[in-house]
Amino acid sequence: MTEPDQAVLPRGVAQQEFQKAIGKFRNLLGAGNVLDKDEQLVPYMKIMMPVDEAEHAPSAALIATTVEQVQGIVAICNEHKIPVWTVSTGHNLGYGSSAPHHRGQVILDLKKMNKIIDVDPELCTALVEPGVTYQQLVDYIKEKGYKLWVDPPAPSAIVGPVGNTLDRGVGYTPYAEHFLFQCGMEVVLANGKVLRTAMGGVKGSNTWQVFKWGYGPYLDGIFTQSNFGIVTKMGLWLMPRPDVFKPFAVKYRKDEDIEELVELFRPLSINGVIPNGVVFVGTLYEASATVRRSDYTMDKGATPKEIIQRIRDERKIGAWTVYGALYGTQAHVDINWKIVTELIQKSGKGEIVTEEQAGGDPAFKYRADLMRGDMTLTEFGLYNWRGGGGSMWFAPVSQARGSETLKQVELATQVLNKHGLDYVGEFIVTQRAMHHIIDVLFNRNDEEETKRAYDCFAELLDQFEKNGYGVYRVNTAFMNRVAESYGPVQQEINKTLKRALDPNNILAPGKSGIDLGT
Amino acid sequence: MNVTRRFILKSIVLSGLAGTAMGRLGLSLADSVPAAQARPARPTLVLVSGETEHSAFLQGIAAALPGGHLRVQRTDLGMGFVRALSQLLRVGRAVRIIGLVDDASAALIVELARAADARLQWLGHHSVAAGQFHHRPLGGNAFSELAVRLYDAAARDSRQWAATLGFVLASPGVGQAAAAPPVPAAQPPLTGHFVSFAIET
Repeated sequence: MTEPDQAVLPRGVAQQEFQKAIGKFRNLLGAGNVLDKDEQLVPYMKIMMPVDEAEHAPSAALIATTVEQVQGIVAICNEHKIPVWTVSTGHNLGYGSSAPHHRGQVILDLKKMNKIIDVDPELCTALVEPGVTYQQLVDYIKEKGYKLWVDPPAPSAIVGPVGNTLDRGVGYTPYAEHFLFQCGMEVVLANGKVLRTAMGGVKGSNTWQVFKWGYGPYLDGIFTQSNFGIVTKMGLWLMPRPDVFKPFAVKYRKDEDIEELVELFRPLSINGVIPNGVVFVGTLYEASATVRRSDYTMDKGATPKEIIQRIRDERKIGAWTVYGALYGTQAHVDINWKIVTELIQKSGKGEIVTEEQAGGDPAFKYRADLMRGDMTLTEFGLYNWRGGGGSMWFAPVSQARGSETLKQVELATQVLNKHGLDYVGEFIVTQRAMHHIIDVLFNRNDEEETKRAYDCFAELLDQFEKNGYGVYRVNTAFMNRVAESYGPVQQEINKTLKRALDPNNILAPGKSGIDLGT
Repeated sequence: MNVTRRFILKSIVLSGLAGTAMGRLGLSLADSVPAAQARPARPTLVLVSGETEHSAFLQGIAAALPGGHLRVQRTDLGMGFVRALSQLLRVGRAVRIIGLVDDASAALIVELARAADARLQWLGHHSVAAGQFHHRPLGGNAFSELAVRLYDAAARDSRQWAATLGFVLASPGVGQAAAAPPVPAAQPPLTGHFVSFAIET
């Protein structure tokens, strides 16, 4: 029996060759784990970027459950020159979802490699597979009765530590910088060999999840935001549950307050009084938990300033709302709370809101949940602000200085408004660095608006680059463009590593702009 | 059959998803669909959010499955909904889930469906404002004609598209040939941004 022709094929792969590979995948994984029908692949095609889904349509999806199967897949891909785009849970919505970098790549979905291999309640470490979600980890910890917290990013329950860490994502507790709290990886290389990084290479060692560095060059970093291997296990550190957790918000009325705020809170971040990232949330980001744009206007284009002011007034939302939390013993928290409140009162600005004062405020609850590592999906409310299913995170990084804030907000707002879109943003100060997180929201159902959104994102990249800012992460449609902004030498080094580790260019070509085929 | 708003209110059971028992859900629909009708092979759950709960979408579904005590659920972004839907998708019994929801709910539902290996037979994006319709299907050969039908319906009467959508999603196979119920003149059109889907486990 001959296989029906596949409408979507990997770049440079003929139909016959593709079908041979599919047959081998079926033998390896079982027919049920090789997906090539429309209704099976459509869920992998829902993207939020301002480009046609067809540009990111996969030719097939493979579901592996063991390291040996991943090795087998790599062997078949090498033999038939099939590019494979690996996802762990694949819910990275504002950065490209589960769709591959370019049309025709085969998706390797590791969602069913979801074993929690070990959680050590004393050393506070974990070793997990890529398909493990934060919800799964929380359930496991709860079941065992361990006093440990996880640190999820905003989509919490449905995403997992491996994928988020490999994309160098962040959370909201003191363990927010995920790659900093990662320890030890198992990686299937393109040649089929299995690498265990750092102490994982020492026979009989029990230090794989406690000592990051091992001996010789530190390798874990090259497997993040890259396509040099397929990570099949990862160690991470978990936060001991503190005796006391005290989340708080401070509301500020004026746009220009942001400059002073960062100067006020940065020292508290660097000296550890506020150990988690301090988040400075703009009005529309804060409003998205409870407000839709259509509640105020149905007009196309950027939301007028008067309406934004009305939202502030009617919903009692600040121009900026600062969120932070204190963690530790009661004595620790009492002392640090005194430091924080005295500093704010001395500044003469800002309305402090405690958890008790916030009551049932959904925006406060959402932030408090994030800062204690609880599962919440409130951030999905952003997708209803404008509606239409378009979303891209624009995330430039700068020094944590007040002088960096207002000019960035003004620049971003100018570009976004020029293209008829809104500034929906926040800053996160983590000691010395500051992430500026902007959700570029648009209506994908409107072709004209979608084109504007694409142009807008490109212009944001251009304008911020001109001012010396680089983004730390980006969706698949703009990966090549962002790689360029980091300079030709970094690009050449990445290609050199790619040639050495994956000469057939089978692992996620295009990831972070690394592709031997271009 | 002219399905009225009154009929909808009487025949649809609207409840929270949390705690839904699959057995109960299966029985309520399997017993309700007339033999002459193309009987759905599996029980159907309908998901709605916000204004779609009161729209002609449900009238279309009710017309496709007359007399049925449909299980209709509101979506939300709470963990209770996520857990219950995940459980439903993974329980191992065949179920058909159709819906018309907001973008946030849709993003979540589609991701949960993929995580559970469910088949997504239809995924449509709809933006409807006064005199403007954008209906954009994503894949799904079984419903390739549906977008065209939605445009036709909306062009005839802006109130009609949601009923047509509900009717066809609820009656795969026969919905192509049959006509969706006309929406009462007093009912306002459903406007805004929505996502429709048909998922099977």
